[in-house]
Amino acid sequence: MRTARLLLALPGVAAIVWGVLLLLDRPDGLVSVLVWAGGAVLVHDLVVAPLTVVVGLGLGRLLPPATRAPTLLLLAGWALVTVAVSAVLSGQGGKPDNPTLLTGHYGLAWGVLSLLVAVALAVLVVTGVRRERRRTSAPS
Amino acid sequence: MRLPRVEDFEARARGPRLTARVGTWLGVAFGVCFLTGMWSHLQYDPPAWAPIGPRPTSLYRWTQGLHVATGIACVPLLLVKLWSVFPRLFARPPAGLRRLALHALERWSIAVLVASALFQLVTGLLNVVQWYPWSFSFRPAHEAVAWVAIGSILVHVAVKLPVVRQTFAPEDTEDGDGDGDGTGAERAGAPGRRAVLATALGASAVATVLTVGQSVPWLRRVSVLAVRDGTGPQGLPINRTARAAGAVDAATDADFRLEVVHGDRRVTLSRAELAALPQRTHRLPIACVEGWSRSATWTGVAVRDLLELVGAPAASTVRVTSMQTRGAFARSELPAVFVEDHRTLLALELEGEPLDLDHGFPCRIIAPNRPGVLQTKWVRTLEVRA
Repeated sequence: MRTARLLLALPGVAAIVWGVLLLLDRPDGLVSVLVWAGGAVLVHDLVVAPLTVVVGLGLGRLLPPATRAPTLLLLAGWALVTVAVSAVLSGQGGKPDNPTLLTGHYGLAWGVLSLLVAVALAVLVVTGVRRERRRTSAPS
Repeated sequence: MRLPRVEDFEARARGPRLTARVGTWLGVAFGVCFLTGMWSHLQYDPPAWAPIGPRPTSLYRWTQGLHVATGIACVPLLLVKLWSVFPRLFARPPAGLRRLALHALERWSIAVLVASALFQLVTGLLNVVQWYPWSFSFRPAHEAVAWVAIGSILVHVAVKLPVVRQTFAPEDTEDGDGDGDGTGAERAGAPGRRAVLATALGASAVATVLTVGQSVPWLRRVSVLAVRDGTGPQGLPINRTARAAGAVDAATDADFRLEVVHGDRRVTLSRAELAALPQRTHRLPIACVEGWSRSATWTGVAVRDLLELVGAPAASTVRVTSMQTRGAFARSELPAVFVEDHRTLLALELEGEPLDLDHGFPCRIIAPNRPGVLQTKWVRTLEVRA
């Protein structure tokens, strides 16, 4: 175990040092790199992660237990896919004189995807609430 | 108000078992992304030891398509992995100077890991849509931080190896379904660990399929969120137009002459004279560093045939100079191993028609297994390197 850990850690440290040397090689862009790397962490830790905790807790309380898990997971899956494709949804990038880049109807495609997810979520919630009612109103 | 503690977070799926499993998938995806990325960086200035040549013809198309696809696949995996350990951010530092120092060191290594991993994914995704809202140069920064990221992953795995081994050991808890530890009533109905893992992998797969059509032709119709659908003038996308490259005037000049230079021997050829030379037609892919690729049929003069006109050996390294006046890669170096291959063309035609201005009219380089940025367009000079 000790050998395995050393065999991983030593080249790891070497790679980090090499990366830092490469960064220092171009000092003009260094501040911008640090701002973007640090900024990404801050956005995640201060915005994205707290938001998922709050949404998870809130919906966890509101949703009927029977469909809580599938509803939360479907919502999470939708959000994860949305973040992964956010570059084309941003409306940024591309070049005005190059129509071969950003060729798709991204808003429409994402809208249809989101609509399908919304319908599935609604079905899950409605069936969950019904099942819950039947359970609580059933004579014991 | 007080800062939350680790115990305050109640999702029962969270825990080392989930983290280790998502981490394994993420590690594999990140590893493939790193290796294919480094392979791509090697293309720009191939070292002698690197087996980079015209065969396999579609190798770069595959490695770079894989690079962008695995990068996108990493996004959901990284977010779920960070979610699974988020409560640990609030772990209180231990007492004792030595333990405190170790704790601080581990914290810092994780900060570097998260920062570099997020940096790679964010910059990579924005580069694909050619959006550069920063002041560093993309390629060197993406390469340097890749080393930091892969290094901190290795260090992280080394640190966590005992935990990882433990989590992959067979479970012997009473919670036989392996869904986590919490089975309390207040947690009823909360997603389990396996379901969260499945969601992460599912989201990763869906995001990949929705975007990978730019590299995988038969998925184009499904990939409704792909950056490119493979269309363009003469059925081929463009990365930089003639206007953007500032090449319009020179390229459309009727007095255009190609220069082939070998020491003090020099031959100049008009486009008509080029077209009168023996032509070769090959079907070759064009594969961009941004991940898109497409095969096309190119017709033109083999570069080695042009070298013959100035008495240079076929196995010569050739410096290619473009007429473009703006942007990087106005010059490229064509290593001898590519020049030797008769499929390395100075192309005049695409799909049987004269090249579109945006595809490099009057003539451009097209070689098998090269990154798109090195397939120099609007060529003015071919110079044999001594």
